Amino acid sequence: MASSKQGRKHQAKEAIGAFCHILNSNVFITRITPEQFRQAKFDQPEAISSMWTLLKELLQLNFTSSTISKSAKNLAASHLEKADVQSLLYQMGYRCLGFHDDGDVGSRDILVAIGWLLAKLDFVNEQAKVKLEDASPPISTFHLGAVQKALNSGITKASSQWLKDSGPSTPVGQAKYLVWLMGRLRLALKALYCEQQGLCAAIHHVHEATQGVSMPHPSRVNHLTAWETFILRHPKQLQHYLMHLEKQSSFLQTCVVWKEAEPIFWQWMMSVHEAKMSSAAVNPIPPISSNNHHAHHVVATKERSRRIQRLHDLEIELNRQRQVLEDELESRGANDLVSQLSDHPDIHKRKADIDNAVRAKLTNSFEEHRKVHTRSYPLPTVQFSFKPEQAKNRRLKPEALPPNTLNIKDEITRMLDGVRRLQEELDSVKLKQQQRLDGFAEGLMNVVCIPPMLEKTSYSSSGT
Amino acid sequence: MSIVTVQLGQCGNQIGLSFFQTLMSDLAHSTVSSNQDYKDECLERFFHQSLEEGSSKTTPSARAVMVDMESKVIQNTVATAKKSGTWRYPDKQQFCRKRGAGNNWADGFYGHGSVVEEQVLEMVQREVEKCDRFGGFLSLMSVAGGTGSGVGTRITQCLKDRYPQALLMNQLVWPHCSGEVILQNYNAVLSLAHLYECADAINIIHNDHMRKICSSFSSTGSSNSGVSFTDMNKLIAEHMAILLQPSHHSGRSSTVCDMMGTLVSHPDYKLLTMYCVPQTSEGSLPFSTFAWPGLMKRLHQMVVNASVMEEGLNWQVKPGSTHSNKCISNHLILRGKDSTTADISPLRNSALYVGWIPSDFAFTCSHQSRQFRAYEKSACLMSNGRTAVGSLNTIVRKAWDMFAMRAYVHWYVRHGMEEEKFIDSFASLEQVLDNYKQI
Repeated sequence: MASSKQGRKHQAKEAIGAFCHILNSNVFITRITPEQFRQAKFDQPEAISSMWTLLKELLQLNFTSSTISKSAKNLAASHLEKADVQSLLYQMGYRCLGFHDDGDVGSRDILVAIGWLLAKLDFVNEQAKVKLEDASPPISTFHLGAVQKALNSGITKASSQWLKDSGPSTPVGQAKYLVWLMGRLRLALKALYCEQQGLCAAIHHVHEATQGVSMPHPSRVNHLTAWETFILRHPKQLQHYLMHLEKQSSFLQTCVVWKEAEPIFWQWMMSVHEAKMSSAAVNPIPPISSNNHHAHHVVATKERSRRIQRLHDLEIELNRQRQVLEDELESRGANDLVSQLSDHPDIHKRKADIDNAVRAKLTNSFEEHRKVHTRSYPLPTVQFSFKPEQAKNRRLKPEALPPNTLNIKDEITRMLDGVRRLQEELDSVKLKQQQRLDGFAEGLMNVVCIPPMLEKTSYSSSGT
Repeated sequence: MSIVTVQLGQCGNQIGLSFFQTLMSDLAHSTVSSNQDYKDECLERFFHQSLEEGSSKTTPSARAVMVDMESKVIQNTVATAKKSGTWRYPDKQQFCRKRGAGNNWADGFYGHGSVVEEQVLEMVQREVEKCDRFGGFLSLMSVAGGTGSGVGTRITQCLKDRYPQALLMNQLVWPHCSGEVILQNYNAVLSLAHLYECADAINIIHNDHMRKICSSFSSTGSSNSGVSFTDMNKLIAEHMAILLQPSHHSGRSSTVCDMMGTLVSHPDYKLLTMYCVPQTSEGSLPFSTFAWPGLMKRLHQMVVNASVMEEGLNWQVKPGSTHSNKCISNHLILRGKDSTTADISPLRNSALYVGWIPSDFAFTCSHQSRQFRAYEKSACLMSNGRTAVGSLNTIVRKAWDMFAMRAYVHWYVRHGMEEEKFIDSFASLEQVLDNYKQI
């Protein structure tokens, strides 16, 4: 038993090792070791900074194209704040609340987030794909290092610096600058078109000149590629090419190792998650970071829906209780019911209590709901006033009232209307209840039912 | 990058011939041994290799299309090129008709233009297809005559429509102020107004300036009588060659696109002027020595004075003063020994430039350590600035005065041109002048 546990541990270590190897082969990722992963699993504070860096870099790799220079990427990565990372992950769908904390986030929480991100991005497969598909551009241009350097000689930086320091201050100058930039772009496109044309022609010449030669033989294409021709003409570059191929094949081997060990890695990640969950049960989950507005909004919406769900449950419960009462009514004899009704007015009290409880709950939740709403959309303040008297001989016009003034008389009329409407409603409800009781009474043999509201009227069954 | 030259009219064809001769004589100049890259680049830019008739030998063939309404000049030009033995014009790329345009822009634009455009475009298409890396067109024409200005404008418009991705540079030869043709002012106004809409860059070369420079070469220094059009064309071709021969900019070969990117990015400002030093006759070159500080000082003062001529500079004018020139942008090309050591900082002076272009982009410089022909050191500054305003203003005023009297207007109307075209052209040139005056 112990030996199998030991073996699993060893396998997990190997899987993490392979994964670290893949991560480290990417130039944009700062070196990471399996030990740091282990530390993070046990929530060690030493691993926090390395885990943050890895998470940031993974996000950078996802959001920036591979053509951006390394220095630019480093600059962007260092500018990515913790709150940005939290918000970005939240938007991507990572809702683990322990991670979106205002204070220090533990290394285990970050590790779980990294695991989630890796699973979502399918990182390793993407890496392998990039390496394989873009095989030609990096190798076919590495001998042009000097030219590349000359092209990237900080001229764009100078321009943006100029714009900050002494750019055109007047709107006319700014407009001219903009038109100038557009013109520059137009001319740059023309130059690019010409260069592209030249490239096509050059490749065509190479293919034409190497017609009938192919490597490896036999091949689908009946000519050499530009790169192969270049290698033939410059044997010194072959050394670089071989080194590059070696690197690539070692990377692919690591990918194969990783593919085999992948299930074990995810099992290990599961164990990290379980450890996190068990520790979360002991310690309450800390609140969401105050900077993460997106998360706050989502949480508030969830809270509202939860409250609605509670009300819904309450309604179901009430219905159930009513059903129980009705069953009870049915199961007991009519005499008992009559005696209970006459002797114990508790039933009314009970009903009234339930009504009150429901009303109180509803009012409460309405108040809360209203508070939430008024926080974002404040209600207009309301003023009350008496309606100015409509004196016939009054020469002066009544003062214009502010738009949100309410008239007391109007209000009273409106409220009286409301009372009348409620009264009618009450009457109809009473009538309905009576009819239901009638229905019950009909079902009971040899019983005289005297409803409490209509004591003077007597109902008798045909058998009395 | 390859450039197809379109030679239009008598003047365009003669300058074209001089230009290609200058290029070839520069390549043949054997002062520097290792000039293969330079040679290859120049040949790729302006020539293609074609088989000679009846032999397996290839000779450089100019990437050129020749258009004139009369055949005499073209025949002479082709024959002269062939006689040189070092290069030639391509076969069947010459277009002529029987009758000239009679120095009338409207006849060239509406009369001949509409008839010839399809055939000329076909020739251009053939020439473009020979290019691996086609960059744009260089049109050579004068604005005084009928064919160059009228047909040239029409062809330029068609090229713009057919090749929207190509760069269009127009080399315009400005007539003598004293006047060669009575209608030259009208022709110049109409051509320039139309070209301003379709061309990317318009380089104006003044016959007056060229004549003065040529006359300064002669021993007497003041006589105009000895200066022929051939001398002037040679000078123009030389200046163009100094500008367009291969050079390097920030570690790589500088293309015409790079140069135009500096000069004519803003579509409202397209008028260019060339300043070249040294201005010495070829005969006196073996007895002269030049140093970069002296050349740069003179070039700088020429730009500040807005004077294309090296002689008669006012050394009191300083950049930024009221009489000083103001530029949108400049591109400098230095050719010769130690060209990278030349001090170009005075030309970077921000007082020379407008404030709305970043200083790094207003001035660019490219170098070529190989000397140009017999010039041990030479420099050419292509400038987009106020220099052209003076002569343009004069010609617009003269043309307006004539138009106010309706003088010769019926000559244009009779070829299908509406009078409103004149008004539109005046208005658009006034706008150009105003734009340049405001910088």
